[in-house]
Amino acid sequence: MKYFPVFLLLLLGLTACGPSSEGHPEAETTGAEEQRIVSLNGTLTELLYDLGYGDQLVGVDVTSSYPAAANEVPKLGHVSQLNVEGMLALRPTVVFVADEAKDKPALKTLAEAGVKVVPVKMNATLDNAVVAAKTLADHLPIETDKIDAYAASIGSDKQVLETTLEGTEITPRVLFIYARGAKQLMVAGTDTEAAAMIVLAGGENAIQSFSDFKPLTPEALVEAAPDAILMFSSGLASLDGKDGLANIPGISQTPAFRNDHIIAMDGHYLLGFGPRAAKAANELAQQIHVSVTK
Amino acid sequence: MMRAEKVGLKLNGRNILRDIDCTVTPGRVTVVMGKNGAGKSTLLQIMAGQVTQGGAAGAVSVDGKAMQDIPSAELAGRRAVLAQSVQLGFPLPVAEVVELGCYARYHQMTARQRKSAVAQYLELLDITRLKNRSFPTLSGGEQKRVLLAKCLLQLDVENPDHKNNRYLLLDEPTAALDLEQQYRFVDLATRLARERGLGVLAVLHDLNLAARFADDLLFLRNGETVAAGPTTKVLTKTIIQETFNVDCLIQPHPCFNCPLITTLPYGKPNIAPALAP
Amino acid sequence: MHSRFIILIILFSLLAVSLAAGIVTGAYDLSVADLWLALTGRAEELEQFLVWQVRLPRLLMAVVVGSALAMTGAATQGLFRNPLAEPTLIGVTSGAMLFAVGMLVFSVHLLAAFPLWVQQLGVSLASFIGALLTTGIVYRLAAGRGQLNVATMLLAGIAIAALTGAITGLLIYQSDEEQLRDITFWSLGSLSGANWTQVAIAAPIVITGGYFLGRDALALNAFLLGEREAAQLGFSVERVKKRVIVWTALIVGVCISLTGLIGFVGLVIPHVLRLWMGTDYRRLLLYSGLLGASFLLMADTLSRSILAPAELPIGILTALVGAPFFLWLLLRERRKISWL
Repeated sequence: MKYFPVFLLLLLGLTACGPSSEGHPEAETTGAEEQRIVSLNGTLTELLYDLGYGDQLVGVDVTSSYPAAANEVPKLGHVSQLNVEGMLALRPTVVFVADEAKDKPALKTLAEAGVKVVPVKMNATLDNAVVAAKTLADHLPIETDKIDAYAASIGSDKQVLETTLEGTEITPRVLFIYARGAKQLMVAGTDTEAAAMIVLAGGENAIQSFSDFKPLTPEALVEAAPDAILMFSSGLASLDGKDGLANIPGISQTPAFRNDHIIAMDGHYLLGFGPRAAKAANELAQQIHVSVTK
Repeated sequence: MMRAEKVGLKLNGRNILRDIDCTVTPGRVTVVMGKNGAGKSTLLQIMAGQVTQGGAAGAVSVDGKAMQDIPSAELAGRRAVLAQSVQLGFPLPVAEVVELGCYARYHQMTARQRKSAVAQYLELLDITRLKNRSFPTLSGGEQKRVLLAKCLLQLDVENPDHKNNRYLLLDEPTAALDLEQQYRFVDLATRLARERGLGVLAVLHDLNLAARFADDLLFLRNGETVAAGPTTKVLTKTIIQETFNVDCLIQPHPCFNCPLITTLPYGKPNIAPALAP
Repeated sequence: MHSRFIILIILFSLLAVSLAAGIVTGAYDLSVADLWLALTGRAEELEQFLVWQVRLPRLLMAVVVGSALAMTGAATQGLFRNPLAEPTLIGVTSGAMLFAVGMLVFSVHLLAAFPLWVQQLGVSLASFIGALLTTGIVYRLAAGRGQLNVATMLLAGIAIAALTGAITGLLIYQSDEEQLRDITFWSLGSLSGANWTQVAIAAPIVITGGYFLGRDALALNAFLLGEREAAQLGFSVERVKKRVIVWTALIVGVCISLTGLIGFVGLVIPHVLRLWMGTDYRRLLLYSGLLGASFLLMADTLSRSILAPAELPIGILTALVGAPFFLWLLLRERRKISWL
């Protein structure tokens, strides 16, 4: 592993474009400082862009869609289905992956090949981005004041959120529905990121009787009696919008639907727990409370 | 001698076959006759050692040895069964079907020996020209010949010097054959069997074929024996009447040295039989 | 004799070409000269790793799994005398699928205390056990009074597959997004996890099983004329059936437990060879093994290179390439085919 920079130089000279590659001296000079980063988590990708490492990303996973520039970086597919050689071909110096996915066989092989695979703990908290950034800083030369500034900005977002929440008195019951077309509808129980976000936004998860995601049933819907329904914009779109949602049995009986309190937000923004988590929480807080007071 | 003693078969409480004695003697042709459902093919299957499930009674012995004590590989060389019809799972060329006949001795033979054996039996049955044809594309008569070649190879390859007695079981060999083929095939099969000293057990439907080629006859009705014995003794009007429930006329055959049977399902017509030209 | 020799040469050349193509191709750009250096152990550590720990085990896994699926496909088709038979019908795949999905869904609860690699090993182990268990059940259902009724076994296999399919569906319905992903990838099959350990587990079973299936080649030929005929020719029909089923369950069980479901190889490869050189099992099993290995090698090479640096699940490719090719062959040879 300690010889890795040497490899990198040799590889740059040897491969890239097969026989035509005569070695790129300019790559050699910059190679020492430039990192070749692979990010296998959408939130980490967003974080890396935020911290100014976007141009050093050489590969991202399929969930990395924000910022838009991330779509220009070679996509490596889903973290469950990685192509080891494809990743090696990117000659990454460091691979960042969410802690829960760190044991995938492909990553084990990658580590055996001498690539630094860094698992990053992700939590459903507003400070997640700062904590994750600190982990990143252990492996990338990120200046501490940059992280401090980061923490400060998230802190001010949190301030805004607090102000929003101070003005509210009730705790609306919010139901998160995950939809992939009308045939696949799941509702979030406790212990999910959706529930965590709802609580952070000053709401209460409408379902308390089970954890994880469970298929949606009309009865459960009525029993949950949500004041607001929260969905991913993509999920709502998969049902053809609110009209399609109305066709799902049970939905039209909920207070949320009768009062037209259907909230759709971008999936990654809402539940990524990235740098914009506090902003998202604030936005959600405003929406659910406005809905209720209306 | 291949002998079935008091064999029977009970399926779902119904007697398919009961207390049948049947003997097949080397060099002789025994024909089993009876109406459909009389148990002819069942008897043949039992004597082939292919009915092993419960409900079977009695014993079959091959040259004094109980059939179930003979290992199946050895049994393959002692008796061969020409099946009523063969549906191939996937098409095989004729040569490969015939080659199946020497599978019991497969590893004792070289590829060259097997090939020449196959060629020899194709020649014997005059089907060399069909060698590379796909078996399912053959006519019924051609298929029967191929299967007979396989059966003869199967018996000969096990006992090249004909030391052991061997038996050929023909299960309705005339099924699906036209008139000419029926006669020719039974003629061919019995002739080749006699040449080799094989004991033949055949299930036939045609009384005249039986009269012409059988040495011994066994008449079955509803799973029970009506009569058994040499053709000359048991091929009588009463026995035929009892077996098939039809009246008949038995005359000397005008061309061969055997009887000619004319069945009269509606009884004897009230006119004088036309004389043969 | 001559044509047999030529077919063998063609098949071996095809395998050699597929192997060569497989080892040369990859997301990582490696010239042939460097490849040679890496193979002979004189290249850089990373390239050596790439060739020895990534490409080679993956190629070998493709060879092992491809030949295993094609051989068992040929054997089951012969045993059941049914052109549509494949190991699915005796319950191997449906059981493996059910247990693997169950493990993927419940491992969170069951094996939560263990590290993830134990959970993943659990998926392989569970699917292997599932394969053997369902085959055993299907076999018991079809084996009455000491005799195995092949038609009953076919029907029992279909019924059990429907049942396990329903339970699998129930599990899938209960699964969360992440599990659903894993299940989808598993059911599409992949060789991306190939390593020497997998090769060491699968290869001995497949080779031994292939050898024993090959020993029953004569019996399988005889089976083409029907079970009664096979018995008449001196084969112990019941023992042959038991052997073929047990080896098929073992071989397919171990393969899909390691790579997930890879469809179409077992069905198509034997038929392609049948149309080409007939059904004689003395050759069909070996040839199926060779062609199956080549086919899966090529499919895998495509799967890891066309979307590089990502990869396409191999099951998609085998069906995408296999199905149209098979249809084309069927239409072209329509007149020759009498068994469909």
